[in-house]
Amino acid sequence: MIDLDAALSLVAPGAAWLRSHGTLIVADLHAGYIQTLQKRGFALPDDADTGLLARLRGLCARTQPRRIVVAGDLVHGAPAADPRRGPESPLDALLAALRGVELVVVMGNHDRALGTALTDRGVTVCEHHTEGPYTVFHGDDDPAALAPRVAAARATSGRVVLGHFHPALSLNDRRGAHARLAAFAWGPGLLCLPAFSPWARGADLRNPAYAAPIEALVDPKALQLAVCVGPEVIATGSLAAVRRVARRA
Amino acid sequence: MTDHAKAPRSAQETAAKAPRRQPRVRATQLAEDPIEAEARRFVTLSGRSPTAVQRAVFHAYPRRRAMVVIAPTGSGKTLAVMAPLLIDVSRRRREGAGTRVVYIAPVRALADGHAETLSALAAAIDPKLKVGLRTGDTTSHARAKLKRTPPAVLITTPESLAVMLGTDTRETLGAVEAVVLDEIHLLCEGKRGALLSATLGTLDAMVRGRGGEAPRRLAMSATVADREALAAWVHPEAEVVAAEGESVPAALDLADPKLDEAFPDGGWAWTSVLPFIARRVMTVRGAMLLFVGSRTRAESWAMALRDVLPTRVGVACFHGSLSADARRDVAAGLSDGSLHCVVATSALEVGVDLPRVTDVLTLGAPTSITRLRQAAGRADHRPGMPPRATLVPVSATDLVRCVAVLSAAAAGQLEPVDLRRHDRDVLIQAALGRIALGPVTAAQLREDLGATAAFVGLDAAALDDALHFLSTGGDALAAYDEMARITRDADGRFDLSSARARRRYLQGIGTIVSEPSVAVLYGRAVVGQLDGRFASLLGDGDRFVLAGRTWRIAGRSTEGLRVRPDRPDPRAVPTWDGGRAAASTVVTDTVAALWSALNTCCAETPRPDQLSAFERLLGTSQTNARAVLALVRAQRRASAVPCEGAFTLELIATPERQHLVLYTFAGNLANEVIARVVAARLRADTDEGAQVSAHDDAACVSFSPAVSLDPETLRRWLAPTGLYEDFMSALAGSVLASAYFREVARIAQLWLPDPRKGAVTPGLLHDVLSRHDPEHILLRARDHTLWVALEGPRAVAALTARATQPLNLLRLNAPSPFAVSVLAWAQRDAVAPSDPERALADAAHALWRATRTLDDLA
Repeated sequence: MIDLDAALSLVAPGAAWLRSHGTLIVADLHAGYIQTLQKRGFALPDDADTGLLARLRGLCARTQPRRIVVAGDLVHGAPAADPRRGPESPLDALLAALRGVELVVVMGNHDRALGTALTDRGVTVCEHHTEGPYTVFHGDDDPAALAPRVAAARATSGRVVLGHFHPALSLNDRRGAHARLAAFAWGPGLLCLPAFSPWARGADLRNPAYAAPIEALVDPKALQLAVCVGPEVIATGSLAAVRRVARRA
Repeated sequence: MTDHAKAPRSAQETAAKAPRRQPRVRATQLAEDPIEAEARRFVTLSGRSPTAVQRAVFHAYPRRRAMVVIAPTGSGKTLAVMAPLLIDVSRRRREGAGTRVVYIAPVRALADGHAETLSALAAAIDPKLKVGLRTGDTTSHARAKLKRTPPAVLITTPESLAVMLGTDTRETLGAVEAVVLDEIHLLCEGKRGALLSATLGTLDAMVRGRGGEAPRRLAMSATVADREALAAWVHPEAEVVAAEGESVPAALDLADPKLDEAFPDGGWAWTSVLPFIARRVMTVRGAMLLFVGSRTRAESWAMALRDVLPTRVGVACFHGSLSADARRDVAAGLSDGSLHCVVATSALEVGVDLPRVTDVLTLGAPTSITRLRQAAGRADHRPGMPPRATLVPVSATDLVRCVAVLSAAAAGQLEPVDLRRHDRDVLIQAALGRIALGPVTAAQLREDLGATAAFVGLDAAALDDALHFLSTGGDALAAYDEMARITRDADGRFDLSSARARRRYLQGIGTIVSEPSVAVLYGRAVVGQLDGRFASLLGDGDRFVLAGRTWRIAGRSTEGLRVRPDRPDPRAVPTWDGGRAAASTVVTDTVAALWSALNTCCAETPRPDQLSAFERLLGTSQTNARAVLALVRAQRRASAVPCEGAFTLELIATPERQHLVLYTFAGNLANEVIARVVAARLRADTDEGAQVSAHDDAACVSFSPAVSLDPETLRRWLAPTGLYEDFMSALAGSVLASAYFREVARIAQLWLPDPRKGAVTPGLLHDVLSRHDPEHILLRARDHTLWVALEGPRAVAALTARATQPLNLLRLNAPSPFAVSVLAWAQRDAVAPSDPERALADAAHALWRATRTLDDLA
């Protein structure tokens, strides 16, 4: 766990925890990911989001949140039930697992497929959500529109909290093996959350193409990174320095 | 005699004289077979007399058995096999019979090269015999023409043959009488060789199904270690026809650069060896080939040489990442004399013709005798000139290694060919290939595949597993119709389930799994390929070196990375991650024996005579013998030289860590297996984590000073029993497992490269299968592949051999000179996860330490 400021901590496997508010912020759950791929014609074994639900339950057990804010992409595709698996759709399975906790969903690009399914089930839906000095967006908007919000948040020592980018960092063992780990990326006025989905491999921020939208908001020298390894969150230094180390290797 | 009458008059005269020129005409040969006689006559037509191998093959040909012809390059092997074969085919002309001879070459480049030679040969024997070429490069138009009018002789590759058998083009192969296997020692290797043996079995089944006899197999090979194994691979009743006596022994020698430092083994000794190489380039008669161990090293050496040499001396590099154009430029530069030195990786060892190369040097000791011979064979081979190479040692330890390699080569030692048996992923593709021929019962399938070298004695259960997978995709995937690639009819015969299943099989033929790479484009020219992972780290404006030039990234496009030339910058050399090839057992055994001999010499020779004794033993200059002697003396003072007959271990205690160095001489891959298992057992006993590293000579495990060690515990940790199980459980969940799954899934055709955006990656497939179907056949295939690729069996053999030797455990407070080079590797190979999560956390912390100084400066 890393305490980013007095109120906000980063916890594994990829959530922001607002202690005083009792609020967890998670991004990019992509519930029903495997099912959506199956529907698109890829042959994959059935997966009832067991990994995702186990992650959520574990996190809730540790933090006991009153509210969970999803920074977009709650689901990966439309909430059709899979006849082979029974009547429950991935969305319903997820909502059932979170019963008893207030759920706020900031709409992400994948959630558009849900239509009114969320409001029909009594879930609060919004385009952005503000909690104290923190404002949660998904992040699929035009970066030019986000930049002034980040500047404003910086001025009030608050933060814009984003999902969408699935930040990650690759670590090498220098003999051909490498692993990509979910990563937090933050700087003045900004916090990007890693994807919470266990299937998301993430976008390696050392690759300039993936980091570009985040770098448009915060300078890479000021952009700090931390990776999730099991139950730990480990800081790795600034993106600029990480890149220099990677190239030196 | 009608055939003889066809020969031109002058030829008849020449032929009539020919037998008199033969010094070794024996009575048995007087009653020679007509084909033998005509083949002899054909060769003498050109004014030469048949070579030993030609005489032997001509004589053996009429016996009509499968044959493996073993003879050195340049001995006339191809003519030896092809002349009687083409004469035979021509004598029994069958109009409209389709292709009669299939000629299989290991790579496209070699197939291309043979097309012209064989066309000329066929035309000389019978103008009606046409030669065709079909490889992966053949256009669909040319393929259609080959199908309409099949040539009598078809030159092809293993993959193209499998594709033909999977489509109705197979009809052109229904009357094939012979299969020629060129460079069989390359063709039969690894999983690709295993698949080829099955493809040949499928061809046999097809020809027999059309009422013919299974085609006769004629194979050609360079010298190999185990010719019986090779012959058995070709055919259970194959006879070996060898004419190695004519081979000129390779001229291999040792360069003598000044090695001042006693043990700079961890890094590359630029300063001591660069001037030596540069001087050799300056005085080279034609051109020099300098073999190095990796692409990165090829690029950096080319650059360093260019730096120190005058500009009129042309230096280029050659490796697998260069574009075909860039490689052709190298060959052109050599033939027009503008290039004087080519720094190359082993990519150049096979199939590329290089003119004017007079000197071949290898930098550092080669990892195997086979590799050294291949390198030596690249020297311009004119008749009578031996293949030759010079080994350039880069350090005192490397010098000992070089001497060992040379002595093993001189003793005629060679590594055995890597023949694979019973790989599950290959079996799956092989079964598909046989089924693609037409409906077949499990019993027939087992009989056909069980008759091939790769699946000899195939057991019913293994085949049932493969058929179950092909019918369902395995339990976790059974719900998908597309996973049912084969179906079974009421008579129990298996057939491809649909046209789509056939297309997918044809698309996925082969065993070569390419790593993701990115094309590098300058204007419209392709400069080469960059490792995908490395390319992803580069941003606009970043510089790197490829093909010996420095480039600046100008942008990216869908085709690849756009670059512009830039000023040379030695810091811009890219690094390609990748395993170091392990030294072969022949090499490591000889190295171990040589250290033993040097140690004995040092112990038994009076001190003043030691230097000259070392000079004699090593066959090197006094300066270099002195460097080795200094190393041996220092090692003896600090610890002991690892010797045969005992298992030498060093336990080096430093305040922060203890390092256990195990001198196994098993090669770096097997040593990594050993080190990981020792770390896992240590963890199970003490709950302490450990880092591991591996070197060709030794394995190293580093752990906390709190762990205390006694010989009894050590024996338990080093026990060869349970090595496989312990290694596999230590690897569970590691990235290595996922990396090997990619190969297995590709060969079993569960996963094929898919350009669609958002397509399923082998990594995702692996994660999902591991979670939902841990007993899946491909996960078992992955374990086997990993175990073989990491030389697990060699680790078991090494530990078994040492289990009965006395332990020589030396407790040290500082690393011995030998341990320094092992630990130098350990420093570079930061982590090797015996506990993946712990190791990743360590790597993240290490990254934090590395970035902190940079961030503090900023």
